[in-house]
Amino acid sequence: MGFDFDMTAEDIKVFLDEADEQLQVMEAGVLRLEKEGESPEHLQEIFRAAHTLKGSSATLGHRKMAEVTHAMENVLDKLRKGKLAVSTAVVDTLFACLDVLMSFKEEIATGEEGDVTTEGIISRLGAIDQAATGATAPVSAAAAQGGSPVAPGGMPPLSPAEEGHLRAGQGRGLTPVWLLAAVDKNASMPAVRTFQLLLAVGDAGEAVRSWPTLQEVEEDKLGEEIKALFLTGQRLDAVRTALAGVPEIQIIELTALASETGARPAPAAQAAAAVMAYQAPEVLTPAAAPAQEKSAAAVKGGKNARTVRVDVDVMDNLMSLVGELVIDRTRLLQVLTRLETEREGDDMAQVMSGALAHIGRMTSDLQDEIQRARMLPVDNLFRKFPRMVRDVAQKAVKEIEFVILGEETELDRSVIEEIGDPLMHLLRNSVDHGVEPAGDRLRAGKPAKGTVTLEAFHEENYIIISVRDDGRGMDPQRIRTSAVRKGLITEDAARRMPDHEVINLVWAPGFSTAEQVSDISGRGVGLDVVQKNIEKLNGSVEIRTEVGKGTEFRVKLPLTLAIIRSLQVQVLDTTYCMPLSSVVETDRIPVSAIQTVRQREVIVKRGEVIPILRLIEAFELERPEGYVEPDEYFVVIVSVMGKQIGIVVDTLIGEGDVVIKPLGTFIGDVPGISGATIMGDGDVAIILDISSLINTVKAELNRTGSELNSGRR
Amino acid sequence: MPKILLVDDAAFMRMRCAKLLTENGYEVAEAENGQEAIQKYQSYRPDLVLMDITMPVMDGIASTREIKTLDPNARIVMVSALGQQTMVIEAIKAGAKDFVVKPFEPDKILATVRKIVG
Repeated sequence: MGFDFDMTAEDIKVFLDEADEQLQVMEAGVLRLEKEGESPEHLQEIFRAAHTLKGSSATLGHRKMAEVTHAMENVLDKLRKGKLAVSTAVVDTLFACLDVLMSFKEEIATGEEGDVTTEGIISRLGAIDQAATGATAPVSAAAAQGGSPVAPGGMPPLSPAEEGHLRAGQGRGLTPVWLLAAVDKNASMPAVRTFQLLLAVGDAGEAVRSWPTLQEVEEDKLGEEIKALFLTGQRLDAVRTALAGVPEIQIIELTALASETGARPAPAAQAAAAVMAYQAPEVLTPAAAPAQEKSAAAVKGGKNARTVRVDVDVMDNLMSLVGELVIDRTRLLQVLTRLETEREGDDMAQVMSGALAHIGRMTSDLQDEIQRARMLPVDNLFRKFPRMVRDVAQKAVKEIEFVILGEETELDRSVIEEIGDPLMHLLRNSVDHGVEPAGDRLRAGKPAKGTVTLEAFHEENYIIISVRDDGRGMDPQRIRTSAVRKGLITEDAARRMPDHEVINLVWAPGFSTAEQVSDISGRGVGLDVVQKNIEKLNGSVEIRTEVGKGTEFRVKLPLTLAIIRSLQVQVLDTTYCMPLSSVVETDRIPVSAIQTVRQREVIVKRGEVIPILRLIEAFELERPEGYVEPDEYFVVIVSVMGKQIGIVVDTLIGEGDVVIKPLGTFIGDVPGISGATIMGDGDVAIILDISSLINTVKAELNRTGSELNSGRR
Repeated sequence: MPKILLVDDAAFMRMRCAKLLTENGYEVAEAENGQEAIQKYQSYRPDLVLMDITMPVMDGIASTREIKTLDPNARIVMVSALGQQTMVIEAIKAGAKDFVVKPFEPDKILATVRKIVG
């Protein structure tokens, strides 16, 4: 792609970030336009965003994006000025523009030219534009023939007032000067150059009359040439230098006139002021009104002025540096303890103790601050959804009221980045499968318009994002039938499975409750992918549903990816951390309580059969010689998406926050391990990937044909 | 070193422009909107202001008007997109000295700046 001069990767990144923002502003604006109808404020916002994007994309050298934003700007300008009314066609076209711009943005991001061209969208915009100009045609026709009323060549006749002005000026000893000039053919704004020239004339003397007048210039009524008659007390070459200072102007003729020129007697000359009336202060007032409006808005928008953009990687580095500090502090504390015991009452030990306490406070403050800086309101993510819900609803021919709540809730930036796709999928699912067609709704005594709600809120150390609808709910019976038909489970097993477990079958790969796979949600990517992506974030998702009332998907996410609350356990000499979000309970069980069912060790708790996994076996570790098996085991019951297993460990250490460090590419993906962390004493601890451990066990069970899945006793 | 205040809401445009100007021996400060430009003008006292027109909070024309009231000798050059002719005229009436058109050509912007501040 032909980028302008020296565009660096950083330049492009800034451009893309900003383009994202502008596109979002436009999208939110168009949505509101559709919902609330015409509003100058929204139109202004959309216009401004389109305008900014136009400028930036043109500078970047992406011609297509500049062309489309330019065409959009034309239409938006007419809308803004009331020359065009907001209609469905306008809204749809604007949405189509946004899609096209989005694909251009993609082109810039990937550096690969896509197959989207501008013709289609520009002609659509053109059609709308035409409709607008059609209505105002008489005005523009008038403007076209309204140019300078001057015959080329000589000086046009003056009005009596102008002649009077001229004579009076001469009476004061001023010289009348005749100017003939032209604007460069390739000047980008000829009217501005003309205006500047006429102002320069006014500075050099007193204008008697100009063709065009300043008024005409403002209305963009320009002729081929610029002519002016003015009076000056300056020398002609000084005047020439002053006028030549205006860029892109050619002075064709500048002559002092003989005193008899136009010297017919005329009435007094003060009327000449009328020619230059544009300079009168009252002409400026129409522009002053919008300015006042703006400064009111300034108070509102002023607070986001003091921000800096920082790369997320920088934040990640800061976080991990603080993690290191915490570790070093713990080491120093250990040294201190030794110092204190070995050299009791030592001054140095006391100083060190004070300093360490201070360092401790500082590091935890630092950690909090960095954590805070990483947080973004989920609004950043949520505002992408109304458009999508609108499109899906339109395709599915459903009327949907989309409600967003708690958009100010803050979440770690990296979580926000990752959670977008899963949420989008859940929302589509709600619109497409959850909310029933209007006819069915009316028959069920519900309003024809379905409601889909997206809400974010805090719950303890987690953020809950709820996606819910007031639709038909999930019918366990239908899910059973469907699962059996798709061969996910035997008929027998399905019958025995309790309702709440049946619901969770929707997470199984290849499951879809819709009778017909719809064009929108049911394609290939199923809920299983959603679940996987949420688990990757150390989150979980659960379903609450009631037949006839609706369905809720509750996504539970950690506040941050960088730090997790964990339960620490020990096997041999190694510490393992389990995300607290997946821990159900810990227990101590006698060896005799472990039963073997089809080669698999299990325990029975509250009537449920829970498979057992020994970490020592999962990671193929070896006990030192002479190891004596204890009479009791510590078991941690973990659960992900309703699937439970018990993990056997040597000892429980306790709870704590750990800073996650990825294992690095040289180790790669190890099944059952999601990362590592450094503990206070400097030792490395392993963070367990609970969902992959559970899946190993379940896969093994499926292979051996066990029916433990059903929870049968 | 002549000091220039760049006013534009698009960080991208500011960055491009600042790079060009600093490479050519100018000192540059930036503002994101007309309102901020007024504050920065008073504290930074630039030799020249390069002012975008369409900006949130306060546009370039209103800002030009205010700055001219504070300092009648202020030298302001509008940075405008094509099709904003009327607004540029408005800005020139408000006291702007000249204008450059976006997407700017490095030579043109330097020529315009040099003509005014040397």
